[in-house]
Amino acid sequence: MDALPELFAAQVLRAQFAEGAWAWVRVDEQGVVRERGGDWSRFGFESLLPGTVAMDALPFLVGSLPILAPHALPSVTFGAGVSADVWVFPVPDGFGLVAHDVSDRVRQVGRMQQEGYQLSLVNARLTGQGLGSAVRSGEDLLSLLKMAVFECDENGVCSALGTLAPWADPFVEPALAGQASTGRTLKQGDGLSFLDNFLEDAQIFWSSGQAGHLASGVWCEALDGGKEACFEALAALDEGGHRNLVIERVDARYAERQGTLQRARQAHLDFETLRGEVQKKEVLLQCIVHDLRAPLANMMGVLSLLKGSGLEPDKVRELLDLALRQAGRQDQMMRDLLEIFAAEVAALQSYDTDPTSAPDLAQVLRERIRERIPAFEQAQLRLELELPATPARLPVAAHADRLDRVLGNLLGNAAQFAPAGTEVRVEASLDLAATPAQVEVRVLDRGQGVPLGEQARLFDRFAQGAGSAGAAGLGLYFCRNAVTTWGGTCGYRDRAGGGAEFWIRLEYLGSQE
Amino acid sequence: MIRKKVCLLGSFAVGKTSLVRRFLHSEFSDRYQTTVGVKVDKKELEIDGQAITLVIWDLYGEDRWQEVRGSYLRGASGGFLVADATRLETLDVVRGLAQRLREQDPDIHLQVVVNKVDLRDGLAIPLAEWRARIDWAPLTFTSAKTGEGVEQAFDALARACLSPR
Repeated sequence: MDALPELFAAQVLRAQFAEGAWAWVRVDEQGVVRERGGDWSRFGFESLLPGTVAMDALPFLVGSLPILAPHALPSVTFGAGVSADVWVFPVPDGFGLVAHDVSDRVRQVGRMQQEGYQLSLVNARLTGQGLGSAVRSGEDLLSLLKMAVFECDENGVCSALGTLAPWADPFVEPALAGQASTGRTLKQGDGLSFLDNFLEDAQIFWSSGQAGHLASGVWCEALDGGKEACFEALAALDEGGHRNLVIERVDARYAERQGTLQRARQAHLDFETLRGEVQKKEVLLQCIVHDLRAPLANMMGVLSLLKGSGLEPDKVRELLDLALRQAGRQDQMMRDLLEIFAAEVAALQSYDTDPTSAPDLAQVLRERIRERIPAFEQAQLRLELELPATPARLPVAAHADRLDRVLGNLLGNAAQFAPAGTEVRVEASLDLAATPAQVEVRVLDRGQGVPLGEQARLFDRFAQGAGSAGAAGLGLYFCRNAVTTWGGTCGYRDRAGGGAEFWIRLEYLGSQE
Repeated sequence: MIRKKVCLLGSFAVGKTSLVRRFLHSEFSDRYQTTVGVKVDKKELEIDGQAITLVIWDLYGEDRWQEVRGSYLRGASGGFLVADATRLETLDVVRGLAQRLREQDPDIHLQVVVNKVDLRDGLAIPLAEWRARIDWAPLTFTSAKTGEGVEQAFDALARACLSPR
């Protein structure tokens, strides 16, 4: 079998594939299969070939499209009777799907459950073939079997046959003075209790004259005194045409079934948790690599300017200072990563909402623009900043370091796509009418903008525009994650007159006067 | 007294039983105990001066091993649909169950909750994105562990169940 592509393997835990067949497919935005691999014949889809329409063969995907984030699909059974774990996830030009055959595991759990059902089937046979008669003839089997047996009429009135154990009391009308258990009738409620609900099904079943039995499934409820108990009811017609209803205490069987299911589900949860951890670490690693490139790009811009001749000594000093600051920033970032990696992971969701300590967006923008001007000049671009005249400070709900990265990513994007000789504008404005008040930052360029078809997944992981070869496609993904974590929003619109306009809106924490 | 049946539904291990325990008894346990079958409980509430008994059917989590029986949904005035904030795939199950509830009764009141929001570091997607994806029914973020949002979510559904259909 061929290897799982690296991009696909990153989405699933490889160890999980040690057993059972698997297959993968890459589908483009038009829903056409582009590549496939693995053992599709195992899943009954030999015809799922490159060039065919994926949805024709995989109809369970229809409700899940578009695939915006990696996730697992619940319980997919393929046409060939194969039960599979299925993962879907976005890839640069569409989505990928990996299916893993887990039929053996499903069959194993099914067998274990079947064993639990055996006793139910025996009881059902007794109910249908003579238990009612045995009880009517005076044999007291009920306490041994932990059962309460009733005979019901066509109006749904059910009367007890034989002795009722105390646990059955909540289900029956109170005994009259001197009344024996036999003949006590089931309570008739408003249809909202479990037993009422089952009796509606039982009446239909009895009226149909079908052989066999109808089982209610297990239910649990608190008995008088608050202790919870579990029951199962069975309805059957016996050979005399009597409508028999058996209510059985199934506490022990419940515990057994619960244990079986619990083990299977816990294993599934453990696997999902592990997979999530692997993915989280992978995203973090990719974000780190992406961030480490930003100061390096600034340093390269400075060095290119220094290489040119005719610079005044003051300008050279200023550029060297800038390069040193960038080098220091990168150095600090790497040391931080090495020293407080674990703390950084835990703090990913934290941000500042205290107006006195929250980052001042005006100041952050001024600093980021100043740092970027050499690189922009090198690319023959003008970089302009427009801030509101007042207030002087724009404290916003954000995390200072990550706000730096967000703005750096947006500026880096503009620098990459704006044509030489044009201007990149950064505008900030205050919206006091919004609830809560917000600051909007817009980064505008005169590039080609983003084609309509790419706009919807522009902020997704690994999303790359046609002209973004070489970038990991994580910058805007990081922006969206950070901004939405702070309760803000971000987006893209076409710039009036041509070009791109990326915007973010963050909660304004300053004075509103 | 008015009695209304509400069904708790969702994938396994999203916290349905924990939400009920929190709502009924103000208790929480970190230990996961899967539900087999149906647990039926009752809670008396007062909504705007009107007494109401919620008959709460806590149904087993739906997955490949257990599928919810349609007959269990009969007579329900409300559906309480639970997703797990740390597992995006549980939203697919909630969508499917909402569709089944509405097929059975187009007028049924739905309340979606995204549970386990106390696990801030483990959110599958940011809460704002959960909100954006669940724009088809009332949504509350809850934590059975801390109690956040639990009473509000049940109250909201009880209130909806009292309103004319």
